[in-house]
Amino acid sequence: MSIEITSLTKSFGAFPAVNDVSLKIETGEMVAFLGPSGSGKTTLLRLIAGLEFADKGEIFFNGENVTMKNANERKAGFVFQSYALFNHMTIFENIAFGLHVAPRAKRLTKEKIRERVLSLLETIQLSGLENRFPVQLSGGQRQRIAFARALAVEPKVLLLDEPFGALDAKVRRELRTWLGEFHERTRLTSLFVTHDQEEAFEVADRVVIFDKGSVQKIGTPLEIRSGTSNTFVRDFLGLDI
Amino acid sequence: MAKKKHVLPGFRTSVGWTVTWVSLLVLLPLTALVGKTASGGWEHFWETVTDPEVVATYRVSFGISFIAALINGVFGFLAAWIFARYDFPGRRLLEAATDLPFALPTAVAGIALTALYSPSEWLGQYLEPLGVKIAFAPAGVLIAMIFIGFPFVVRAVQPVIEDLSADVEEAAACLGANRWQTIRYVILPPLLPALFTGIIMSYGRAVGEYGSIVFISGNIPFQTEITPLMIFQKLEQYDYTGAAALGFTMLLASLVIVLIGNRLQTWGNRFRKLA
Ligand SMILES: Nc1ncnc2c1ncn2[C@@H]1O[C@H](COP(=O)(O)OP(=O)(O)OP(=O)(O)O)[C@@H](O)[C@H]1O
Ligand SMILES: [Mg+2]
Repeated sequence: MSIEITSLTKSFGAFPAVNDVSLKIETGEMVAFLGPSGSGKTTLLRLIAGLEFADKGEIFFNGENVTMKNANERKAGFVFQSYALFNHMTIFENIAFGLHVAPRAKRLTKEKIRERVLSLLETIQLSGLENRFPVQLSGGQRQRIAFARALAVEPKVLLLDEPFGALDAKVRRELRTWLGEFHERTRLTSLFVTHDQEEAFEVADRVVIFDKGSVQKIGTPLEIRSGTSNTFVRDFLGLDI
Repeated sequence: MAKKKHVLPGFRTSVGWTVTWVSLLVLLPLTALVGKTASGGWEHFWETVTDPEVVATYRVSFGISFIAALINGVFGFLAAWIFARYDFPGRRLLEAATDLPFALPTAVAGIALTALYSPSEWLGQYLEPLGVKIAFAPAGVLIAMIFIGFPFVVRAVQPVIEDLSADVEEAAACLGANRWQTIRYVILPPLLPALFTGIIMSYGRAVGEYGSIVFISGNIPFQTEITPLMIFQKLEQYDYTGAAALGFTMLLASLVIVLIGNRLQTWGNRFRKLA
């Protein structure tokens, strides 16, 4: 699904967290949002998901204006840094949640739901854990469950907010590679927020660099690293050192 | 069997203290109550607790209390939700007002409610012509019980709502859940144990309540008399074993309530146990 954002602005009080951002993301792209803390990356992602509403500007999914639609109508696959798993539900119930709450007419049968959940568990290499509760899993496993839960409803776009932020370096690298392969295979339009340049440049087709709520630079990893005159970007990426 | 190693230091000492303390504070007086009851003999006991006027009071003390506790469960939950989630002018004041029944001498509450609902007073004078009788009727007992039990639910539930993180609700929304489904499947289940605790506490309080009810109820036999009032009357007539017999009956009933409450909490908490 393509996503187009036009002059999007969102302020908290007088302070603009996202300031006049315009972006076009093509179907199947994997785009990384990179920037210092407080630069508005999470806010932009939440605006796209419908978890915040813009003061100004518009958002289009595949050309359809979704600016005024709620999160449960936009159904973006959102993966939170905190995992946000439902602690009172088993892993199975967590992953099946989106399928269970689907409108009756579109809801899958119990058997189909079971099939889908088990196959997702296989995809994330956590088969056999369906009856556990989230507290019984490690951080990396929880993150993968959150990922499977988002994928279960077959979203048209995946939004990942520092998906690997809370994990140790080794698990981070493993999951990053896994995510890269997953994207190669499915070509699901994906946006992910990160602090980590290496992560952004390795996995993403294009990287968007933010500062103070505004886009500083957009381009492929190669374009960005070779030659930019923007002093913030040069400084942020450490190109002059 | 090998001695179990405890992670927490001072386990033995703390358990020792707790047992001693609970025994002195709770078990000892209860034993005395049982002793006193037994001294009256079985026949006197049975006669006392099955006296038709007394039996009618059980319906009020346990039945109307139950309805009050359920009503408090619903509205206490709503109030807790609003206090936890919304800020509005006067919220603090309203919250403090909610706690008032905790601190207020129950007789004061009784007088206040009676002053409000008596046929010739404030609200009562408008309700009377409509045929709505509150003071000196079961409805009055219900209102008094709701009044004194309300803060228990709010206080039990509010901190748990405040602790809920917004991200699970947001996750549910992104997965396509509407607001109702989010409340039903995501927000409510983790709150159930606290809600049960609040309802049970408010129930227990209403069952044992005396001061705030006796004014507004009018103490009409077979209608609005409560069991604690029966106990009080027995004491006034120097029928100590009779009073103890009723006390013992209430004790048993309360025990059952507490046990059911505990089961409900365990059930509501089952997913936490696994941590
Ligand atoms: N709900 C909110 N209320 C008030 N201010 C907010 C809120 N959410 C974000 N902000 C502010 O908006 C700015 C952008 O925040 P945002 O979370 O989007 O940054 P970020 O780029 O994701 O940072 P980080 O890399 O640290 O996660 C920050 O200055 C933040 O303080
Ligand atoms: Mg952020």
